[in-house]
Amino acid sequence: MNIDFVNVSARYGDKQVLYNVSLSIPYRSVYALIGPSGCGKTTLLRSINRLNDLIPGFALSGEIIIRGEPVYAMKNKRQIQNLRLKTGMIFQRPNPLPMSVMQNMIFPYMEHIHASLPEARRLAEEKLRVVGLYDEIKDRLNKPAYMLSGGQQQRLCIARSLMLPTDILLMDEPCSALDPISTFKIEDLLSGIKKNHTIIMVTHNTEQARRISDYTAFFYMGRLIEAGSTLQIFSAPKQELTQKYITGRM
Amino acid sequence: MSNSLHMGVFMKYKERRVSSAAGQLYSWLTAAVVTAVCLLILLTVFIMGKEVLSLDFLTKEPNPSVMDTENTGGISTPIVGTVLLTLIGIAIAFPISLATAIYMTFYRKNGLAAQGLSLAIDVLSGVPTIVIALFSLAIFTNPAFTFLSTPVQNDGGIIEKAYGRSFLVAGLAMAIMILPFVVKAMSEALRAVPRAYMDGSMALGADKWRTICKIALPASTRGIVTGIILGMGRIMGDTAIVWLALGGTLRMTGEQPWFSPDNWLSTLRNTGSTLTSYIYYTSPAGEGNNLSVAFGAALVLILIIILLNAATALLGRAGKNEEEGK
Repeated sequence: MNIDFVNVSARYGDKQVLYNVSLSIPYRSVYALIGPSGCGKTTLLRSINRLNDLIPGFALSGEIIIRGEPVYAMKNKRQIQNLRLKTGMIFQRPNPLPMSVMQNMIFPYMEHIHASLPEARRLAEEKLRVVGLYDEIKDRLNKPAYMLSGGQQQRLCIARSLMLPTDILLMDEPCSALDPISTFKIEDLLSGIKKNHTIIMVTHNTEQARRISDYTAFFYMGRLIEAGSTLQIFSAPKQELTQKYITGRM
Repeated sequence: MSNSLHMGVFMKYKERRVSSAAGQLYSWLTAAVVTAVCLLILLTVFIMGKEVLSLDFLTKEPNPSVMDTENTGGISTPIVGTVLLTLIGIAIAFPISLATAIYMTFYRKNGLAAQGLSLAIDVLSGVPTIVIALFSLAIFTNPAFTFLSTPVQNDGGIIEKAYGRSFLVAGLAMAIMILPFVVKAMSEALRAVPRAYMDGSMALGADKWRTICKIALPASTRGIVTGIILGMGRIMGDTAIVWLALGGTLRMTGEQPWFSPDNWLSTLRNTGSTLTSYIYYTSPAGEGNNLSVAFGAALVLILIIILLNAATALLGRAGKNEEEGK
């Protein structure tokens, strides 16, 4: 049940952004993708649920295999939709949809799972508790989601993806727009979610990668430079580039 | 030496100050002129038009005023004509424009077809309305389109062609005329939907069409309505299409009484007038040579358009407040 990248190369039109990346991500781990801006880590992340397909000119060669299924061999829309259902995604900027907190929570659920409204609401409350948001905002469930603070919005987005039968959570610098306390709350939350999710996180914050991830992969200019256990990468990096980056000399 | 250098710098500074003051004055003056022209037009129309404005003027049907300038009647049918034509035009243009805008924003690929569409929209927006009117006349006088207007029979009672002038024909021509503008306004509104909404919804497994219906359209309602109002304003202000495609009659020419629910189809298939064509007929250029009623109608038309613009502005403000969470 690993997520395997096999010789993945990707380009936007003429611009190649990933070169022959091969990487295996173990199930139920927190995997950090680090590297300087423009190194291709976000492209790799967005390739996992085929969200890059929406960008004109995007092309990927190689294969990504999830749950034994080759993702880029999927031709059927339904299959891709199913893939996205099981793969939650958290973006750099919190992106609650323009509706109330509760509607945000039940929107994906009602779209895909034919459930009764009370059941959906019950589940929504349960998931809001998981992210520690329920007690904070229980009087504001019917208020527009953008009235929450940035950190609360991000936790709402995490709770929202938990409404679906996800077992993979993709996070694209989920804390870079948040204050330290909100960041701490989210990092804290991940250790719980990790019990039944594989979490892949792009981060610019090497300290964050060190604190919360089990494994780390370092990318530079579209190439995977080094991957391994976080302990090893941060204490005894094999590559000079990696060492330079994690010590902040790049 | 150092003194002359100092003087040079000072001169330069002075020159710059003069030129920037002149620029400021110039832009201030032009702004004043534009405002003054606008006020002048409004004021003229108001002063010249307010004399005839009365309940009778608004509710009575117009009379031909060539002979009898004292007994010109009112502008009830032109007002109804303007409203009717606007509604028909927008009802036809709205679904087409929205679908086109959705295609252009979310589905187009960078191919020849997409470029052709963009070019077509640009060209269409530059076609003078009189040409569109001429085109509609050429098309809709074809006997196949008799159902849109009325049949024209020859001596033997055989239908030779369609009359080609009616509310339905003019409404179609109006729809063609506003299409490019409404498409552009709606595309802009849809493009302004934050990428994050689209990404977020797609990442939650909603497919593209559901995302558009459930997220993009509700999020851009305000812009879409603005596009509709823009189109309505254009229809109300147009004269050439009315002149050619609605026919040169002051009154409604369908079965009478034209406002009876039984005769609605007949009214739509026959000719009439709008405020703009009424202004033309009653102006010295037309047949009426009756300036005061022309200004009265102009005042009513301008009031309607101002109200429409105010509605857009209000809508914009309400939307902004909503976004800021007030």
